[in-house]
Amino acid sequence: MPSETVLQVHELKKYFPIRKGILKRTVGWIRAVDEVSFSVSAGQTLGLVGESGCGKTTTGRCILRLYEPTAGSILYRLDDQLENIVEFNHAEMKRVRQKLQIIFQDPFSSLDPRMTIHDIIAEPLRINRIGTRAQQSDRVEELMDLVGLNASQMNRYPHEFSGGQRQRIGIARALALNPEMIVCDEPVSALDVSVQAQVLNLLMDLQERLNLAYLFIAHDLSVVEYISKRVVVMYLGKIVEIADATDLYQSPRHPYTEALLGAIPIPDPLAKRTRKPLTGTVPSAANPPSGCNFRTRCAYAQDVCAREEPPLTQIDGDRSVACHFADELELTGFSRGGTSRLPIHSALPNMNYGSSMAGAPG
Amino acid sequence: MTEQQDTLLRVSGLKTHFRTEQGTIRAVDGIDFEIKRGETFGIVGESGCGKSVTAYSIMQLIERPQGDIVSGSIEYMGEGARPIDIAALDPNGPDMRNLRGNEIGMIFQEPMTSLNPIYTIGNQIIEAIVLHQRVSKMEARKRAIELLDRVGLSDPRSQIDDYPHQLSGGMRQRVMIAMALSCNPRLLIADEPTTALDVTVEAQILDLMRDLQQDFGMSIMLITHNLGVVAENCDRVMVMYLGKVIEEGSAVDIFYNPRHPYTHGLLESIPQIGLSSRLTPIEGAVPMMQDIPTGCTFAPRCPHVMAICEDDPPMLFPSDSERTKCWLYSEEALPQHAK
Repeated sequence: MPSETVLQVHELKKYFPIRKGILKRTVGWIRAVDEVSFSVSAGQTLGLVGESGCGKTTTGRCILRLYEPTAGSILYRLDDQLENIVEFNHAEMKRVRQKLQIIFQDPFSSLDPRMTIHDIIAEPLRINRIGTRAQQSDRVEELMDLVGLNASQMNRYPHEFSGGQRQRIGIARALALNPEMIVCDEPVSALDVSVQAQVLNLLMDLQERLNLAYLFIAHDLSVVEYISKRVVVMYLGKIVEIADATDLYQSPRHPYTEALLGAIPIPDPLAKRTRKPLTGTVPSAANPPSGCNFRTRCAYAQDVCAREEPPLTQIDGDRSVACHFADELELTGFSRGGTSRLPIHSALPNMNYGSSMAGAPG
Repeated sequence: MTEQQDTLLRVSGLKTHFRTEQGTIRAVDGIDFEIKRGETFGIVGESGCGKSVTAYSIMQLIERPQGDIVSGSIEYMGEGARPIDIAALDPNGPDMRNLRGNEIGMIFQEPMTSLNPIYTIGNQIIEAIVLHQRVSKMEARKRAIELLDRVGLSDPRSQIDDYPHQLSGGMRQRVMIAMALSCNPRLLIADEPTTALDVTVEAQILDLMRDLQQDFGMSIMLITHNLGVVAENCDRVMVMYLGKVIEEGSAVDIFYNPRHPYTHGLLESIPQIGLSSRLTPIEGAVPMMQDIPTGCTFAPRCPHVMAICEDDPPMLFPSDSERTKCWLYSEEALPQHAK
């Protein structure tokens, strides 16, 4: 389905130099992103998960060329053709960014405190000289409406809004130029749970209405499962597994995916979990282990893992795994230990009134 | 769990307020709860609900003169026969210093900012031990190494001389736990202990805390916004909203039979793996501390709001096992105001 692909990342690398001494000589490299390849289809969400330092944010920023990639290609669909935007100059990038936008994690630092909401949302229009001032104001009003903000508040400043509302402002700004794809870099991690759900639902509604594609970067695996069609798992700059969300969560094929799923705290006090805790912490990206990156923490590691790096290999159709033993291992997926859903008995407090308290099953 | 299920800490009518240029902020506004010996007591709520201020009040770490415990009592039932009212103690006096660290230990969300960057971790643990126990420095160092070993540092003999920046976030949190436990406290207050950590490290730290609780038999007051962490670790749970307790009960009651519409809304807001159903978030956002509604503070966001909710703040309506602060559970209010 090449025509449906909006973004295709091929062997993307981003190395940051480590400089030391008075002459700031480069003494080594941090391999933040190391040969990462994936693609995003139109109108779909690709989730990107991993622990801190795995390179997920760097990947997102490289795609918009907020960081210059060290190597690799980034193909983005412009006028129905995939073009390699890594070679684009400044003016051409401006054209790309009309179609490819980003929203950031921190709704407090990503909005200029001295600009009104109107000016923040209209800025992309102004930079690209789209419409008259009056038309721009109309568009701002329309966008604020679209993201669930009260358009009469457009002359207020960011500090007058709550975290969730600020994230909506960031979304309105990203939508101003009618993009086809948005890179969402931890868009809900700074928000409270009740507000997080509002923003997630908003993103899903907008996707349906505007046929947006998302690259959804997050460390919260439950959030990623909720919003994503496909999921990429990264570890120490490399992709360890790509699969459809349901497959990945139900039957992981990489030991790291299994460990991540096993660590999710389940919001059910009666759930009985069988956790195999992952020992140790992520090694330094400046000095990654030989062979497989994950072998130092892997419960299934063998001699070959230290010698040879497992390539990301396609198995059963739509799925790719980077593990020597992907075909042999019997891994456990996410299980809530018996209960299939969180059984809230009192659907409505009114209805529960006066009745005796139902005991919990189990 | 210990056999003896008696009370270790009893907070009654606690109010901790802060004076600002915009007026008084009632961060904690009349809360009551008890922590029993050996249990894990969870406090949940969104940002600004007063859960951290509750912890700081118990430790007498409220920043003065802006903030102050204006009324209420915090009774601590330690060794002696008589309970000590922490709220009445001088925050800088010897009695409070003796309680803090010795009887009540605390760990914080961000282990980097709560460790002193210019001293080795060993120095900081030894300081805590020497301050509270009559032991020599040599003895204290030996004990510090034992503690670091117990919390899972791989090479405590050499790592004791490391500076905080040489350790990862998870390791720093282990050091914080070792420090908090250095004097065998009866109560450990953990304020979002795993929020800054990755999910695999979070699982390690929570496992460690559970193990240590078995060994040391202390009570844990676990403050978090993560409902999964609460469900897996707490025996009893208290839900706070805008400085007030709105519901309290056993973990099973709170998750399987939530009574307050806010608790209900929180549970409906978390994505759960394997369930594709759409989330039903709570409408609106937590109001600013300066304009808290009169009546029930949750009324503007509540899907079951009644006329009485906007006028009168609800009381706690206890049932067999839990307490809920909501007019829906009042015998008198409901027949008159139900829609």
